[in-house]
Amino acid sequence: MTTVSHAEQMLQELGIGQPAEIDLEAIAYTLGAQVRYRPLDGCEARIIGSNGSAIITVNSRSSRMRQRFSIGHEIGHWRYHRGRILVCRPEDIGRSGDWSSLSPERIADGFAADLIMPWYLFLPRARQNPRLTFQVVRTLADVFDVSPEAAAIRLIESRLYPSILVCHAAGGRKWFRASPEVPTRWFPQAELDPDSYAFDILFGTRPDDAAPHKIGADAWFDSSEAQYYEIQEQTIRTGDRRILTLLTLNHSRMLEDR
Amino acid sequence: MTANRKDDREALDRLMSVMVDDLLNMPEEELIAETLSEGHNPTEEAEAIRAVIEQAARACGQSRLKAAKNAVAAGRAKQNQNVVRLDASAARQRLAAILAQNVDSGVSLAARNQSQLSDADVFGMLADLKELGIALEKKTPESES
Repeated sequence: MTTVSHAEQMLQELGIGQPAEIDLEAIAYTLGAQVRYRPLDGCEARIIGSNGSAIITVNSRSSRMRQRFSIGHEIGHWRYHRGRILVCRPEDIGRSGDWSSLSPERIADGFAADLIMPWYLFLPRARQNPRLTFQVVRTLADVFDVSPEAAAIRLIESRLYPSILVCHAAGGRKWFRASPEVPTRWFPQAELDPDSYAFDILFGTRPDDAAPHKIGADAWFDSSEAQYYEIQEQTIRTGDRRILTLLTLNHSRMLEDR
Repeated sequence: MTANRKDDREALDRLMSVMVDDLLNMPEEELIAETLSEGHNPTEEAEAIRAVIEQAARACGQSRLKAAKNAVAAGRAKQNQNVVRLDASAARQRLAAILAQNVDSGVSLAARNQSQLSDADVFGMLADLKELGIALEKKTPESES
């Protein structure tokens, strides 16, 4: 995070010094790309370009936050993958079928995150919060006009907190992101433990957690070592029958590499 | 009168260029010695100049961003007026053919979370290609010769 990414360099060259100044349509325009909003059935967004000009089309039915991330993602493709056809082989266009994602998608996602939540604007605001909670997540999500999920992932990546963000649905764990400070042996269980507060939020009527709770680490981790520690747990619903849980590992011995 | 003002400005620009070149070509030690001899602190002077340059660069970037915002606002009303007159099956074939032709000739295409394209998606892509100046018509032997 000490090096300035291409996205951040672009923002600085445009004199952007506040999150509210990150106008993605204008930024795209400086790169020769126009943004259009139109109903799309087959994708969230697309970019078509030729000879230095491009049209980014974003699904007009998506949420504004999702549209913003999509614009950043397509600008990333325009920056890194110009002249390439990434969605599929051309012969696939004429027939139905799913198109698998390609590794450039991750590059474009990273570019979008750097463009929408650049570290030089994000970290000073994150550092004002000694503890990571969903209140902090919502505050930063509002400031940077992103979803709580995107802000939470950015906070996890910030290296400021020894935390893990876990997403669960009724079928089990969907994904998780751990801070680089958290040793890899702390791998969250695939199924929610009935003792966890998250279990009652996903399957019951318990309201979202307003603040973190203390809980035994063995409710979240299979490791036998987990029985000796307590961690902090806070869970919110995300509106798509999923929950997000922040686990914070404050015990110094949990953070030691073995 | 206007001509004289223009001549004066050009003369001033030339003078500025000479002075800047002079400064840039001056050895660092000489520049520091000269700054000290005039009673200034070289570090403070360098920081002040750096701040001026950074401020100018920021102002220049903000000006570019403002111009882009204005252009986006002006272009918002303008919709893609390109109408693609093909049936759905022919449109899909044309899109596939255009992309096949252009894989090595500079067309960029990427789609986020792509699944099956609807007819509307295909027509939209053809309209975008047309707006970008990509010929949608089938090439015939005559047109290629």
